[in-house]
Amino acid sequence: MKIKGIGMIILLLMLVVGCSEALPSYEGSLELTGLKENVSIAYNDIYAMESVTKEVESVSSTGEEAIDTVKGVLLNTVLQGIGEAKEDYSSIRFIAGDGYAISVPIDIIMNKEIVLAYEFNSELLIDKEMPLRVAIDDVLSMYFISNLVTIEFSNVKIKESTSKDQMIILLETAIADLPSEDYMYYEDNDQAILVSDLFEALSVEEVDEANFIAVDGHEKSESMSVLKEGFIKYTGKDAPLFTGLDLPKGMHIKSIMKMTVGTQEIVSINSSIATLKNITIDNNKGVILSELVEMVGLKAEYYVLKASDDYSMEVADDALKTAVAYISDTGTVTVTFDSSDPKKATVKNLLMITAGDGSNVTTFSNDVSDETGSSDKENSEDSKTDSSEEILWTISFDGLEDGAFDMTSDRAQRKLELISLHTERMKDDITYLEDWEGYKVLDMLDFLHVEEFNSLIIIAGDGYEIELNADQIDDETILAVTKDGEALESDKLVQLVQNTQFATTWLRNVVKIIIK
Amino acid sequence: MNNIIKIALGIIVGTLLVTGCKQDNKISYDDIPEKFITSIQDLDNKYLERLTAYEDEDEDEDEDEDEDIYIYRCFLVDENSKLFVANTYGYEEDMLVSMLMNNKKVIEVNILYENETEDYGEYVTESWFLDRLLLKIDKPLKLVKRKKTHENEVIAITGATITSRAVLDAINKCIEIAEGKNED
Repeated sequence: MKIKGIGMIILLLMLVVGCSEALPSYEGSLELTGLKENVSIAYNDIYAMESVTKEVESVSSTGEEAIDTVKGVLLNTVLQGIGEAKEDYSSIRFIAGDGYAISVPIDIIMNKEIVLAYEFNSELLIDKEMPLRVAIDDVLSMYFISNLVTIEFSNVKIKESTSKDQMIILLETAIADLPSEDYMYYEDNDQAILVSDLFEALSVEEVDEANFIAVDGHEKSESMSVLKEGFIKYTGKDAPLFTGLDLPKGMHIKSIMKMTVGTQEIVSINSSIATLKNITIDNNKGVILSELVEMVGLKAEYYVLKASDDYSMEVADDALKTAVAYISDTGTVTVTFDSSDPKKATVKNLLMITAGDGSNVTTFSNDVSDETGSSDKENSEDSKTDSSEEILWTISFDGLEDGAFDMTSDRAQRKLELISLHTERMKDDITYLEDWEGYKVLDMLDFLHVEEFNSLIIIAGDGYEIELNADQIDDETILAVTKDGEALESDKLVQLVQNTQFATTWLRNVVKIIIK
Repeated sequence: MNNIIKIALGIIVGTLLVTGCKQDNKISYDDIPEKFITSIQDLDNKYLERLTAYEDEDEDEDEDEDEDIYIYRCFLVDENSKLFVANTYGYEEDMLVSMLMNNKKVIEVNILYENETEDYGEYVTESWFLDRLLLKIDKPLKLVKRKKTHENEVIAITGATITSRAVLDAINKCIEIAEGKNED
């Protein structure tokens, strides 16, 4: 009897011990805001709620996968107790005690269970992770926020955008005129701009969140209130980088490719060059413009390219396939189209790309090959003309911003005005009256987009050269092709002629001009 | 009578031995975390002269339980320079920091032990951070972010403010102690 009694007592004790759970204990409350009413729920009350044990898989930013068995309370269990459900909200933001915060996107809210865990792999959370840690199956580990203190619920403004109102903003041009600040990043003294300055300059829409895509494909959204307190570091490691003075490092966004703010897609050309297909046109290597537009998702038959000085150009979508976007020496974005017409082919300081209506389309002649080696000669206007016109002379222009250019007789004939110049030059006390026809040097420079220069070195076929300062070049400085009604002799086809008393600068057989 | 004298002498000698080993209640090896002992012993063997007046009392006897910084050692390096060795609490756990200073500035800082977070506080041992601490000691050093605008400011390690502050606080305590003793 005694043995049976003792046995019964032991059995009862085992049952009691077996049934009781070792629940954690933590002083304080979880704050839930943005609901119909803000609520504080004591952590100990949450621990006492119906729990679940689940296996969850996560992936770190470096691609490492982890599988954990977590125990905790479903977020919806907590919410149901106060008559709410997570599916009623389009954005849920988890905030840790150190300020680290992350928003969970709507597809996770709708499709996944969110566990507020207090055990990982049968162990209670360590001190730093207490009182709760978020656990969601099959997501990035950045959502597994520890030391959870607040959950913010909201219904974010999501604007449905069409191609008509969508616009691509080129970040490197957009920041060029903004005040820049020193920003020490680890051991490097880099430069940064305030995000608030950028948003003000671009007049960005009032939305609740911006969405980022990084060069490695990592996607993240961030609240506008956090963004407006932050910086974009645009030089050095990890640039362009979103950061902030008091922003936990886990909330930094490195190597931004694209930031979507409402209908504005703010894109980094540097990141695009690193990620998308490149092309080289006129010695300028950069990203193929059609790749960039496709990455953003702006679809149109025509596109308007607008520079920061309001210069704009409308082009057909095909033209983007042979156009390169690159960073110029000034740090802003330049687009060059594959064309034999440099006057039309370049947009400097490109700020914005939007959909066009086709009312003012620029077409390009194309007799230059792209990087893939394909040639478009049969389709180009120039090549059709070329086949019937003989090229009589060629002058190479060097020192251009975009590289070098060959001005041929046929191009000059099509693109420039042939003017007449009467000269009266002195030699050995004899005055020679001559009538010339040719092309103004200043017209050629204008055609080549040369806005300013210090001097020109003019080189003859035999290597002889002269240098003329900018103030020596005027509207009566021409590259002459006829003299007194007759074409110049074949070996002296183009002659530099100025309306000067002496012909000391009148160089024959010009073959090259270097712009300095 | 002779027995009484013998007993008294024995008590006196015994007391002297005990107090001699304890060095006026200064922190002994027994009070130092094991992870730091080797570093401390190396320094004890290297430097002959110890300025115990600049050192903290035994931790057990420290009434201020919130004190995160303990000056374990202060060595006289030369006429003008002192080497402080202090325990300071970083983000993850205690760190052991040594700092050499003269009457005017911090000359050198070394992290003798740390176990801070990888990719965050672990940069505390990098020379580019430690060099930022080599400043004049006429004012307390101040931790800032992003950029400095005054001479006594130190830019924190990106993403590791707590670790950076731990080292700075240790240096500031040593400066304060050194200044206090100098005034005395």
